[in-house]
Amino acid sequence: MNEAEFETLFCETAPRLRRYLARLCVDADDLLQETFFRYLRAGYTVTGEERTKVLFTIATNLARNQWSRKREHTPLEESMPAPPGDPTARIDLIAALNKLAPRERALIWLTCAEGYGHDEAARIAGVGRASVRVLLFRARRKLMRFLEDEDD
Amino acid sequence: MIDLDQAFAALPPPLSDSSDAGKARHIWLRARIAAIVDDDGRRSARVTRLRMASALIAIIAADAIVPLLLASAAAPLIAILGALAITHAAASLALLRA
Repeated sequence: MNEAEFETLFCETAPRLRRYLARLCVDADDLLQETFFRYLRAGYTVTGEERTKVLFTIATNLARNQWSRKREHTPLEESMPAPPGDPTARIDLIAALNKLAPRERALIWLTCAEGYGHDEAARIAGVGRASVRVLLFRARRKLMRFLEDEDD
Repeated sequence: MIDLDQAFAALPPPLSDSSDAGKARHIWLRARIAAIVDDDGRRSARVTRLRMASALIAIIAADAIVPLLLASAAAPLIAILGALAITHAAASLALLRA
């Protein structure tokens, strides 16, 4: 991969990864840059969507290292640019997401926001294929409960 | 009942950052420098191994050649042993420096 190709990859993929990392940790930009650095150093030769999955996997591993080190539920920013339509719905969703444990947030985001299947999300988040369905079910149920509580 | 999929679909799309090109360049350079540093490390480890191998060969050769030379000159055993100790010490110092 040459520098121009890397710059194209970065500019195309960084927004998605940045948004994902912002849901998982406070220093999302640092982890974003570290993710791409590690991707370059490892010399992956995958292409297309596989490349993006590898990046998401590296990013999740880095975020997970941070959760293990800090061992606490780090409060995250709730601000995101307002979408067209109902801005309050968006704010409720992010606030509710922030109440989940980091691993639950990661799985929910990978499946609901990024559109990955259960197996892909399990691989990216480093959880077993057998446990991902249960984890996701519980996470979705919690998220719904938080959203409904905010609605009341 | 809240529709989670609809709620996520309503999220704004990911935004590009105008500084992304600069960040990409920075990461690229960082990776290039790291690759050069790694290469240097590997090369100096190779050079160290070569120096140690060459010092070992020198010790073995000295241990073999010096006693033979002194014995052929009918030197006393104590002189042979002394010379052996000196050459061995000198070669060992070379190995330690490597």
